[in-house]
Amino acid sequence: MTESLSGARRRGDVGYLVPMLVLVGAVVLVPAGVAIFHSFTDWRPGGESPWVGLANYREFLSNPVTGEIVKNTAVLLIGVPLWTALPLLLAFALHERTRATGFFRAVFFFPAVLSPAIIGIMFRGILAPEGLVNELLLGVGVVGEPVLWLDEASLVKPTLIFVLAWASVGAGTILFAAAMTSVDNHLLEAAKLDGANWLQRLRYVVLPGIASVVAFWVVYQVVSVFLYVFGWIFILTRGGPGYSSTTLDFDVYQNAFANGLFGYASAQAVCLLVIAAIVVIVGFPLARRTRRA
Amino acid sequence: MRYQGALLAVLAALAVGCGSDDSGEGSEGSDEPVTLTVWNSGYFPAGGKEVWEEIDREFEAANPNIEIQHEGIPYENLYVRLRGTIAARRGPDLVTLFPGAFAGDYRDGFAPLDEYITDGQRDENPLWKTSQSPDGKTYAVPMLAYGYMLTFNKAHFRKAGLDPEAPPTTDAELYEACAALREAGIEPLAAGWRDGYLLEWYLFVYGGQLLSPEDTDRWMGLELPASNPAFKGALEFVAGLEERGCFKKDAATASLEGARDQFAKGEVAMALETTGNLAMFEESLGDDVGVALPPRLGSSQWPEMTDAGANVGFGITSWSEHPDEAWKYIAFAAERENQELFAERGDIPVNRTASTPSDPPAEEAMNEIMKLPDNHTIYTAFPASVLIPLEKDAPAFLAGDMSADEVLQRMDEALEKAKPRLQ
Repeated sequence: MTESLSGARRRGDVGYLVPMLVLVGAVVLVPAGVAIFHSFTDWRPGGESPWVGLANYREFLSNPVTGEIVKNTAVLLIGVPLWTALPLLLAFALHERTRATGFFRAVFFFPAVLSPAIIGIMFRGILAPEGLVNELLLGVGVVGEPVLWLDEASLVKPTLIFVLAWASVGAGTILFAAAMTSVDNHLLEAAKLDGANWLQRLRYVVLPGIASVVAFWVVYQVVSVFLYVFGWIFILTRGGPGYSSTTLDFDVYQNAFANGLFGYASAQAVCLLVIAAIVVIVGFPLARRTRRA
Repeated sequence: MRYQGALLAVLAALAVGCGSDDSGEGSEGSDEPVTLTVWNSGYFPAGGKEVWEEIDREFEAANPNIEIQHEGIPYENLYVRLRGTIAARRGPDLVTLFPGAFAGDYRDGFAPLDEYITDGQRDENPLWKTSQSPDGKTYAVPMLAYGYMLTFNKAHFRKAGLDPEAPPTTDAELYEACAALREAGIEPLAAGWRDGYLLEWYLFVYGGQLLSPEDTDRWMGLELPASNPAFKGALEFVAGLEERGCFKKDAATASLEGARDQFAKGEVAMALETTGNLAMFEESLGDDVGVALPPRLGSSQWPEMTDAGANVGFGITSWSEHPDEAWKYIAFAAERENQELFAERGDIPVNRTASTPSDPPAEEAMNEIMKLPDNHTIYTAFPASVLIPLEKDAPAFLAGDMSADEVLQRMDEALEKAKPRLQ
């Protein structure tokens, strides 16, 4: 009786999973499989798609634009320390009995509820030659003419780093603030009594206690640079000026939907999948190890 | 058992949802109700929406079983959506498309129109005879014609001590005019390089001037590389104008629309413009707007010409369930009476039997430019995918960060990829 009940319960559990598995299969696995197959063809939806073997991959590796994409991605990764340090500092400031903590948490979390499209449109206006930032800088005399934050090749990537810092600070702050509640307040009190200043308490008491969360956040940010910046690039820069802010996910879109090179774009997408998989497979176990350490 | 029922319900809902089709309702047959969906990048007030609305009303009155669902989709989004639509094999019945190689780049989603076009229609619409893509088939027929011209603000000319009835006709005269205007505190030429479209216009006009008749034929047959001396000369001419201070300053963030607005608002004295915008300029600048041929370069291979020819038109999608009705709509829009509706708002009709207004003087000057016997276009040989690298590189090129050779080399790389897919 117990066995049949247990078996029936397992079949029931599987039954509840089937719709989700069907959806994941239909929306994720099947398209991925189609893209992997067509990365070896000159894919022309609606027309003939001849087999081309590794030609798309060879072209991707030899394309000068790929070199620019690698450079752009490397520069964006420089933003990871900022995207980690900023919410960490804010979370600790909130944790240390700041007044109106709830209000500040809500304010800092505000960007997290906005879509990249809305934030992008907002920042396009703020960073425009006649926008708020340039008005302030011109007003106080820091610059003599408007700065082309998004239209100057040398400035566009640092600008993106700061925009992404603004956009991610909310989620990071909430995450770290929640993690900090697990840190024993007595340790913090003891550190205070021993004369540790604010930064020392953060470094020697709080960080060791939330190291795994910080590590998880760092890995997540690295993955985001590869997989989640398309929305920002599309709204803010369209990969320009030239290719100076083009990322791999944006170039996939460009090659598929602007240039009609679906096979080549599929090869790029497969490469992106492999890169992201490597980051996740290597990164998250490392993050878990910080907890054990 | 309950979860199995829920699962079946979910799968059934998915099947119904995936089975919808918005490429027109109704079945074939002259009396069966038919809905034609039209995607039109010009279905906006600035692009002649009111004319299209009148054409749609007249067409529906003449064909009571056909309903037109006309949708305006901005140019910068239309062709990206079109790629996805072609991949999905579902969507509108008609889409605005530039004829020639541009249409050829999307040929997987469009039906050839050659069998539909009658001899009479070819005679009335001469540009339909030359709208083939590189594979020899016609995937789009133009609804309008266009030409590039130099528009100039006579009030600014007067202020700078220039003769408002004698606009620059050569590159040397253009440089002199720029210097005089700048000295008078007036920005000479409209500029906007962000989206790259204005640089394309300069390439079409001045590349067309510098290509010999023989090389023009070779280019139109895709037998000439993009990195040819004529195109290099055209790009270097534009770079030279920038170096001489002819273009409006701080134009890096402006787009083609921004450049158009600069002229319409009187912020600049001159602009390389298309005939389709003249009506707007007349509305904002009145009698102060002048029209002239784009200045001729000293090394031009033609005595007098501008880049002029087929403007955007329509193609019928290959999945449309109502291609005959779709062609009926295209033919209706190309009839003389409907073409004259476009002419009244300042557009150039593709139907040669349609009359064009000769008032005000700017319109008359534009019509005279359009009649020059050497006018021709080179743009219809540019596949869409070859224009994209030019558009992307325009800001860097005008900023001096890229050479003309580098820009053209990227275009050649795109051209080599595009050729096998077009022929």
